[in-house]
This record gives sequence, structure tokens and C-alpha cells, in this order.
Amino acid sequence: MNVQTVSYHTVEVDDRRVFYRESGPQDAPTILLLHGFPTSSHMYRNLIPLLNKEYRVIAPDLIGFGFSDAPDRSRFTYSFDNLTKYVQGLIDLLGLKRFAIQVFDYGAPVGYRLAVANPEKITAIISQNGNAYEEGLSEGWNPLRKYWQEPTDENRNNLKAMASAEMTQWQYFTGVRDRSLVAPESYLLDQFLLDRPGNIDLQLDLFKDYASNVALYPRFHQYFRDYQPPFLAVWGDKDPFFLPAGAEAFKKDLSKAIVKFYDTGHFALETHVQEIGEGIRIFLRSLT
Amino acid sequence: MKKQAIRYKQTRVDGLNIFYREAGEPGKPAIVLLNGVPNASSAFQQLMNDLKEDFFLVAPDFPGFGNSDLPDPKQYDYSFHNLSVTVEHFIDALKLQHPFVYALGYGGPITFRIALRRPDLFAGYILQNSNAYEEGLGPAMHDAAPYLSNRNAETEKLVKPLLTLDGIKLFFLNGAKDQQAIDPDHYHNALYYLSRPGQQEIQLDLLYDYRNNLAEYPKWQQWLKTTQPRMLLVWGKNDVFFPVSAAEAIQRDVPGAELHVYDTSHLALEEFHVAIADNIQSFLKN
Repeated sequence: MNVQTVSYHTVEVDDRRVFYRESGPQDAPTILLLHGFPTSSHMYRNLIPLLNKEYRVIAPDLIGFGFSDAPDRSRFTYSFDNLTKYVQGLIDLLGLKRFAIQVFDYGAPVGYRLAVANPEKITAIISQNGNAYEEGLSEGWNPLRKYWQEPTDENRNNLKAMASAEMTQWQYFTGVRDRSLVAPESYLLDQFLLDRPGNIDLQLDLFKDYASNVALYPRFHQYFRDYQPPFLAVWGDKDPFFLPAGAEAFKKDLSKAIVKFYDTGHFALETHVQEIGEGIRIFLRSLT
Repeated sequence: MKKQAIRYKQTRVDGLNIFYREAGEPGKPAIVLLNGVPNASSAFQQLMNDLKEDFFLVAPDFPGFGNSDLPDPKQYDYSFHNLSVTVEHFIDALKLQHPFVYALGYGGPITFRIALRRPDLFAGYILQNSNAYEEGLGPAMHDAAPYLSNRNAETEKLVKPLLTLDGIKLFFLNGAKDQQAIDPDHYHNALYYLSRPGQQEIQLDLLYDYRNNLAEYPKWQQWLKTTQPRMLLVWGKNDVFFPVSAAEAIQRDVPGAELHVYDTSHLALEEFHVAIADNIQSFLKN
């Protein structure tokens, strides 16, 4: 039986409160888990107990998400550069010298930025539907591309539907063969936090800034080629946003990339946490 | 590996959709887990993970709670009696043979009611932070007493704060050994459910009905004394609703009951689910 407990912390980074959950031995190799939209470190609640006997696991909430501060957009620039700054601040505050990153969705462009900035610190990268290639982007991105190309109020307001309760559930259920595996508290809690006053506005800002991630893809590829970090993709192959081609594409730049597919959707950890957790453990053990 | 995952299901009972969490294999000894405010079946998520290799675990949300139907109070009488009937029918609908029951908070009065009607239904009882004795009422229940004896606009003001984030934190954090060990997602999830339209009325109706539990306490005490049920007590001793005096009172009448006390709040599983899972393993293996 698992005896490692999880603890929940809030620290100040640049006058903003950053929440994170932590588990595992302090002296064990560290894994930093970075969440996606529209969730939080809550998405790792079932993975952490599978890793915390062998690893120290740290999972922060990005600014605007979960229980980290979500300042009004008039007082905070919601860009992926800026979200990354606060995760970097947490890494510095905790004094993390070497760690693996596990990235998903929004966590991917944040994590890859961190890797580019701290190549000496990164021991491995695990990407769960954490895209870095054009070919990984599905047609589901078309409404966002439209807003990137024509940043009008109309195109912005059209994206509000992306944060609706219906859309959030759709994100969790699309591609899922057995819906009884999806815990209702996943999408309901996400929606509860998305529905906080003003949260939609910061989400729309991040939808806009997602273009900066696509623009950085070549920079990420350069980093992959130059540093060849050990890399594992664990990918729900029915993700409506990030296509399997995006997982395969890592092999272009990472000669030893391991790519594993799972018969599920975007939130692969909701349905396949045991299998994915086992895949991650095997991968990480092979590094030592 | 897949069959050990927790599943989130629904079934139809008394014309209502009843949501339940299920874990483990149906052939293993069954445990029905019952909890009401503030977090329904989600209170058992971690414990179910701890026990799913060895037991078949089923945790329903009562009508009006969590992901089950929330019938209008004009159509469904939110009383402990009525909930106990629905839960009894749920157990029958799932064809659970002689399950053990784990009763927390509101789950206790529901369990006692079912046990008195169906003395052979449950194979044994695990009680956690629930109550059947006057001396088991903690300060938060004393604060609610004027509401239970006389429901009006004034006395409602005494209990409405229980449905806010601060009230929910009373269940999770008040008396906790280490607040950093408790996932804030858990109490915000409870807040989400209790913030939905219609919840105020449902929860206030049911809380007012707790007066009928107080009236039934002597019957439950008599049943405990005369049947000496097979019983495990696991308790968060600093609970402001049903502190450890509630467990000690039961143990006085059921001397064979095994008691494990934890330095924590009402929702003892938040901090001590691993230790409590061990208690359950040893208790049920004997």
C-alpha cells in the first residue's frame, strides 16, 4: 500500500501566489508535472501516487488556473512567456537543480520554454499530448487561428464557447471508449474554476497568445536536436486537438524518442493512468 | 489492470438517477460507503483506491447530493427516512449480498434506519464520525440546535453558513492535523455541488430533519445494546460535529467495537485514508 502522502502548498513568486502539490522523497529524482487547459494540477491526482515512491513529484498550477492566483487581465499579462516565468520562479525558489518534466496541452509550451532556458537541468521529457509540431494541430485549432490572423472582438467572442461547460465535457469525453472511467469531478471542478468572474477574459488572452507557441516550434526543435533529451510521448490517439502525427513528429528531431499511443482522448490520464504510469516508470528507470 | 480502476456509474432507483462510484471486482467482499454533506461519495475516492484490490466497493450519492438527481423538494421529501429507503433500494438494485457498510456523517442515521428495518442486510458496520448519542454532539451541532427545534428565518441564519466555503472548511480543516495534507480541490468540489441552484433548500430541509435523528437516537442505542453488531469505529477526534465522545458512547454500549482515533477533522479520510484502509483490512480479515 502506498504510504507516501501528497501535500498542498502555496508560495509567493513575484508577489503572486503559486499553488503546487508535492509528493515523494525529498532526495529522489524530481519530476515536474505541468498541466493543461482548462484544468490544473488536479489532473495529476491519480498519476502522483503511481510515481511518488521512486520520485519526488511537483505539480504547480499555472497563474490563472486551479488555486494559483488568477489576477484580472488588467493587472497581469496572460502570455505563455509570463506563465513560464512563474514556473521558473517556483523552480528557483525550490532550488531544483535537475528534474524531468512531464507536459500536457498548455503545459507543453511552458515546459519546452523551460527546457530551452535550462537545458542543463532537464533530465528527461515526457509529453502526454503535449504538442510541438504543426502536423500535430488538428482542425480544432481553426477558430483560434482565425483569431490569431484577425484579432477582432467578434473572433475573440466566438472563442468564449471553448470555455463553456458543454465544451469542457466534450474535451473530456471525445475519443473515450468507456465514459464510466471519467470522474465527474474532473470536468465539473474545471468548469467551476473557469466560471469564476473574469476568468474567461484571461482564457481568451491565452487563446490569442497560443500563436506564440506555434511560432516557437522551430526553437523547440533546435533544442531537441542540440540536446537530445531522453523523450517519451504517451499520447491519447483520439485527442481532437493534438493528432497522433504530432507525437510521431518528435522522432524527426529526437533520434531516440519513444512514442506510445493509448486508445483514448485528450485527457488520457482520466482513463489510462495505470498504463501510462507504468510506461513512465519503465522509461524513467531505463535512464539510470 | 483496467478492472481495478474506479468507475463512475448511474442506476435508476425509485424513479431517480442515482450516481455511484464503483471499484474492485464484484466477487470480492462488498462494502457500501455512505456519506452526505458536504462532499457525498467523493469523500471515499482515496479509500476506494486503497481497498480496490481486496473488496468490491460501491459509494452512491444520495438524492440531492453530488451527481445524483436533485428532485425538487415539492416532489421528493428530503428526510433521513426517505433517503434511507432510496439507499436500501439502491443496495437491492445492485444485488449486493450481505455487504459491509461504511457510514460517515449523514451516512450513520441512514445506516441505523436500514439496519433496524433489515437486521440481516449488513455483514458488519464501519462507523466514522457519525452519531447516535446526546454526548456525541459537538459544538457545531449545538450551534445548529435552535434551528433543529424551531425552523424560521432567524434560526436559518445560524446554519446557512455551513453551505459556504467557510462552512465546508469546518468539515475538512477544522481539527486537521496538517492542513497542507488536504487537497483544496476536494473542498472546492464540495462547494461546487452545494452552490448549485436549489441546493440551499434541499440541504436546509435535510438538516432540519436531523431533529428526527435526535428523536431516534434512543432506538438506535437500544439496537446497539441488544444486537452487539460487529463494528469498527474510526474517528477524527477533533470533529466539531461528532467528536470522539460519539465513538466512546457507542463503545460503551458495544464493548466489542474496535476504535481507532485519529488526530484530525470530521473528514478523517482526507489525512488518514491509508491508516484507515489498514484498519478496515485487519477488521474484515478477522
